[in-house]
Amino acid sequence: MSMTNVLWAGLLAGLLLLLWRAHNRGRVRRAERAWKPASLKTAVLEYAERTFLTEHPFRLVAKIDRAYRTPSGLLVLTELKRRPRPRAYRSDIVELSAQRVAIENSISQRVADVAYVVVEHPLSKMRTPIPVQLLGESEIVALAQRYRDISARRTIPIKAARHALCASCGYKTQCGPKVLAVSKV
Amino acid sequence: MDGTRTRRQRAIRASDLARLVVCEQKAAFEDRYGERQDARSARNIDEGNRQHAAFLRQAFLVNPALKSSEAKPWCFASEIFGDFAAETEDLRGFRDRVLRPYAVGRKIIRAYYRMSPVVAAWLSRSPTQRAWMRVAMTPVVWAARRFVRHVDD
Repeated sequence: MSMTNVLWAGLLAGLLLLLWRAHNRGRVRRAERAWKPASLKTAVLEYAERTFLTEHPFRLVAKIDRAYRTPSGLLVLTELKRRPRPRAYRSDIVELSAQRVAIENSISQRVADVAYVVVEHPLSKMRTPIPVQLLGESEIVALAQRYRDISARRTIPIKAARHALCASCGYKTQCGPKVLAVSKV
Repeated sequence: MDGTRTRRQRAIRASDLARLVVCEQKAAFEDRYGERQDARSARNIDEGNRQHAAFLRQAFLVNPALKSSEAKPWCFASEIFGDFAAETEDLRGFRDRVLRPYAVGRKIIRAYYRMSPVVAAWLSRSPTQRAWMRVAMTPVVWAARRFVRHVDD
């Protein structure tokens, strides 16, 4: 094979790869438009898998899945979940709210009160955005205080209200009747 | 929580607080003894990690200038052959000794790194695709090696 042939083959391969890249980028952009809610259509994706650390109001670290910047300057958080049913849970709201506290206190940017839990179906890969109302900073501070109290054994932890969760729990054998279960106040 | 006390404490993760509202008892166990998963949960976590990696790659395609704590999936040659494989070294040699000295070559390098996340995303889908790509890249590696020898001579 002469050097000229190698060069031509290389150029052809490069051209094909550029065409393929353009095709892939178009496909991903179309897929994005398909699941993005109307309020994010004009927003720009600014952060992805970004970690934020703050010392105030407590030492908190949060890694966000994505944050979009709206034309008004607000950041809108999205959290990706893999579930067969398009549902958002309280744990999602707490996670997103803690992310908001971390962002607002670390880079002093305003984050919208409404965030999105993007539920992806495990088989069809279809994404459904579910809007959720975030909790206030004081509620996150109270949760953090409770977490510290439980870690330091100053308070008794409450067992899951939904017993269906216990089936897949790695600690179900240790979590016997000796562990006190007190009701939430 | 006052500032002097929190500074000595380890940082709370947003996910710690999320776990707390699912089951405080489990969160307490995990805090003391670490995470414990059955095979199904471990599989689900693996799937979730793969899904997040795909979500990140798509994010870079939507906006290559976005800010992230994760590294871009730069070099697909490393993904196919491995970081320290002879083939990867040959391609690096081609990049540094044949392409980099010339303006056109530097443009090709830039185009390669712009394109690489797409190819890496495609390759990560299955080991079969990686195997096919390895076969397809063999003549490219051979040509790169010949070019480097030609330049050295």
